Amino acid sequence: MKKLFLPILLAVLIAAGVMAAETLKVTVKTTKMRSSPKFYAPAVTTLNFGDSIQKIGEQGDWIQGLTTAGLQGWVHGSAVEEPSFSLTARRTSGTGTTADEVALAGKGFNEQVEQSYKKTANLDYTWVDRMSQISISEEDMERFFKEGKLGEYGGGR
Amino acid sequence: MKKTTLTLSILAVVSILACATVSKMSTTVLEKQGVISEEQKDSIDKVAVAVEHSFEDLTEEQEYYLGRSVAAKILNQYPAYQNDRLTTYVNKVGTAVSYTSDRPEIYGGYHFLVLDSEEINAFACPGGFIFITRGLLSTCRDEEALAGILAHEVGHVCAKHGLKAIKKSRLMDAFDVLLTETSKHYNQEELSKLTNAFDGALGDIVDQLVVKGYSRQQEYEADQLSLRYATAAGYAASGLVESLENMSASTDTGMGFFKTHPAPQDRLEQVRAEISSKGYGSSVDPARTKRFGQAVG
Repeated sequence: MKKLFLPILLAVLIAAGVMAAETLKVTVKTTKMRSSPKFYAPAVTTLNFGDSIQKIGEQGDWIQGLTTAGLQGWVHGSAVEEPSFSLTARRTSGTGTTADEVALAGKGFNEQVEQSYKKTANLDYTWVDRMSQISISEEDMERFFKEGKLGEYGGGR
Repeated sequence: MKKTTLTLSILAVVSILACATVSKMSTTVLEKQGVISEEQKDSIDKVAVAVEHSFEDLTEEQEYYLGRSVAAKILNQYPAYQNDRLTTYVNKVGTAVSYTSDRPEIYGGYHFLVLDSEEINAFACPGGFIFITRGLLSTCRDEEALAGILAHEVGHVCAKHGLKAIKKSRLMDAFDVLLTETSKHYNQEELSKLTNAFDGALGDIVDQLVVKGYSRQQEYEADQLSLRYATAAGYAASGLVESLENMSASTDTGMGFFKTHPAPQDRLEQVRAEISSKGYGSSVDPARTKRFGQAVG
């Protein structure tokens, strides 16, 4: 029985790893799931930090996934990560278990720390907030690429 | 006995992995006591060092909050240039080169702003807040040059050069709170400790960006990334060459960019060698030059 313990434990850990590898978590504040693997492709839905998607395929840096609501589309690989369960994972949470970006959500240098810092720093964040609001639509970016013969419309990739 | 040794070894490994501040002394003691072998000691040391190093690796969200305050400090020194058309255009060029970067999706996205200053300068704050002065913009003759500069700044963000400026002690203080506190809302003592570490980290980054500048090696790395990102987007590699040549011809060499960057001539040499070795193209589409003139001119 004892001899069986280690192989069973290893099998469970490997199975958990395989299953976890198929589920990805969104690590950016917000991103779009797109209808094709390019940044200016129409959005299927908006994904927020911590949302899960099931990976069903990949093409270059893009991941094809399914949302929990069953919507299918593409997200860029830099917007998601595989939750990590390894002992040697890069970050360790306060509970003693290893964790990832999502498990550390809101911890460390966060909004509460920024608010606390603001009280003493006497800094104006008006333009930082305005800057954060600058957003170029997918349609405008595609027009910009097309007009300037960039990316797929010119010499880029 | 064997069972006890194995249990002790596992406990030792787990505690060493769980404690980033552990020194190699602990493993040396365990080795001397015969609990672990020399080989085991070496491999535990390697993992412990890896965990320790990982403390420099802040989450994207923390990078974003650091970047917001670094950007606020920059905007405290340099006013924003209020021109919506130009802001939109600069953001389109910057976004285009970010698409082909190593980190196209970051926590809060990339945002670009022109600073109302004659000084020739550009700043890349962590978290994707990127600034270019009117002075530097005026040295650009076309969209290729602007794309080269913005891709260089995106390169600094992707390589996390700003975060690397933070002294390890600040991170250790911050992670000390993070490791012991499971709640996302901190009590006064924890908040005070984190705020002090945050303040210190901001000081380290701003000092690097505005006063000392990045290392020569980091600047060359950002140039290499710029060439890769801009040409992947379809821009001519000559854009970065042109912008460096224009800077090199500038008479305003005593401040800003010139104070914090290696001499443009030195960078030009490296950039030309990189273009030649990678075979980057230099085809400029007139439509891009035309729209640059309309937005910037």
